[in-house]
Amino acid sequence: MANLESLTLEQISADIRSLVAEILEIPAEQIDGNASFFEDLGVDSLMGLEIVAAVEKKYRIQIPEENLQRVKTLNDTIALAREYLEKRAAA
Amino acid sequence: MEENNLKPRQRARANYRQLAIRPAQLAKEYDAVVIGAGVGGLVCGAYLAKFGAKVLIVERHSIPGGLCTFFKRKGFYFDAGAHYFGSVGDSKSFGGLLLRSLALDVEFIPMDPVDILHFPDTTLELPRNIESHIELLQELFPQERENIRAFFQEMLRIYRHFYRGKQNSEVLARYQWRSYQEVLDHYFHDARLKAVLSATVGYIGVFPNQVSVIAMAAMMMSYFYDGGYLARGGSQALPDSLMRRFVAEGGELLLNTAVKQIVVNKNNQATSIVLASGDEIRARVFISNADAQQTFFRLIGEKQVDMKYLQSLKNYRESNSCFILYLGIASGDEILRGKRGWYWDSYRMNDPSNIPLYIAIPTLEDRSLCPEGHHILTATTIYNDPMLGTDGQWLADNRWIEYKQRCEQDTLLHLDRIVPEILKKVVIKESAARPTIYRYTLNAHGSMYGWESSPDQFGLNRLPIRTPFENLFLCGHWASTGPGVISVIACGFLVARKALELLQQQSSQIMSAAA
Repeated sequence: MANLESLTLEQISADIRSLVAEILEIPAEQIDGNASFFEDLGVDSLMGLEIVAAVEKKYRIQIPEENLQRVKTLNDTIALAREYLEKRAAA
Repeated sequence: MEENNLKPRQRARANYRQLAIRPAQLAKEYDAVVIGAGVGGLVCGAYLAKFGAKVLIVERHSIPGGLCTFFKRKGFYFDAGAHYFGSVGDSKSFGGLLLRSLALDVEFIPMDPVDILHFPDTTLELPRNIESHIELLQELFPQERENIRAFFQEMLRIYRHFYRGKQNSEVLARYQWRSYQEVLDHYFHDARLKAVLSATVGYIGVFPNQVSVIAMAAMMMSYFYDGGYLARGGSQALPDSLMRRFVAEGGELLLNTAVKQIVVNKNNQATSIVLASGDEIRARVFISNADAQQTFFRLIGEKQVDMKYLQSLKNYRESNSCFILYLGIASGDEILRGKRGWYWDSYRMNDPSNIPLYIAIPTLEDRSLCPEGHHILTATTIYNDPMLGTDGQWLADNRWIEYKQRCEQDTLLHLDRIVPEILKKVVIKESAARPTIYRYTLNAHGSMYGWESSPDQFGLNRLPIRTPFENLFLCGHWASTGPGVISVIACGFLVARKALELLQQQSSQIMSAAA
């Protein structure tokens, strides 16, 4: 079971990079962490939801919908996941 | 608040009377007419109405829902067909996204474990979270560890491509002609693991070596990845809520009314429908949520339909039907906990004699469905019964009664081995087989899942939503997206989009002609 203590930031970054790569169907190493999903990487709103849903399932966390618009880049997604992992750890 | 004190179905029945229109209120003309108030027809109608079309839905039965419906006996509210829904309850998942803008007032209860698989020597409770599900299988089959991960990744990829609906998907093209068994054989060596991964095949009703891997990915991932749900108040809560939304958007629903004919002209246009009463109603667009063969052979008539299309219809094979036993039982929770799910007598999943039994006990999650101190248990078996004589004719009525009684006995004996002393606790017993399902839905020979979901009849090979008639669409499990509640929701949405495009085209043509 994934918990914050056993997850390093590097691991989370690598995991989410590969989740996003899987959804976008591009090689993981080709994703620039600061590239805009929507303007640079051709992500549509459905894929945006897929990314958030995939992160939720991977880490068994719930990310409320109002956070969806924060998911604009890979780095945003990693930060969001980390935030909710921390919230869960604190709870 | 008072409404909440009503039993779920009392509430709904009051709604049917209030919400449906009477024949005298019918208009002469609509933008769109939907034949059949199954879930696909209701979703389609609700979207059309939401985007401003004037819509009529005509339903032969007294309540909406099609196979997603209920019946009541002595205070027990039985789900007649569909029990659980994949993907609908999370607004970030495919199903939730499709329903989101309809803002339905249904409470979906997440199933956890998402499903339970019972084999002779083991029971597997599948965790709701997909990662936990994968980890469980990896623990049980450590030698297939990496393959399990890769397999689920690929199934998810197929699922995503399927629902994204993009044309020319390489992934879908690659798998179009593959059976589920072929893909299992590609990924795994362990026969027991392959059986475990096939245990839910009965939800679409074919053997692993006959079912399309795309159909299986769509079904499995909607449950296992997006999550399975039941609707509070029973399955009927979904069509009820869709109906309320449809009416709130200005749609008109006519119940208890059969459509006798779809009138078409020589220009391959449908022009009107004729009701059993003889009333004729014109419309610009028609959507048939009815059985595909009924639509063309009976409502339109063979002489009016393109020969090639009719021939292709004749070549499709129907899915199987089911025998369903509905029981009301006087019992506490204890003896029933963990008894839901699929029961298999062996790991030989392609052996026709290895017939699965599926048990649903919705009252463990939703107490409102039956009197206190009781439960509802439905048992479904999915085998090819002796439906037809060699001449293709239905069996005589008395043969059916005999058959049903035999099925009841067999199923009760099977249940007695699963739930100790259940036979002594049965207070209500009803059952359904092909003729029952046919009687209520007019689906050909009581088919439960539209056409059989084999590779030659699924994906690109399934009957398209477009028909030889430009303004007539098919919607439901006989058309493109296939069987299951989530699939027909997707179909309803898709057809609504196509129908709206056509309506807009027609409007702009009228406008430019007028200018």
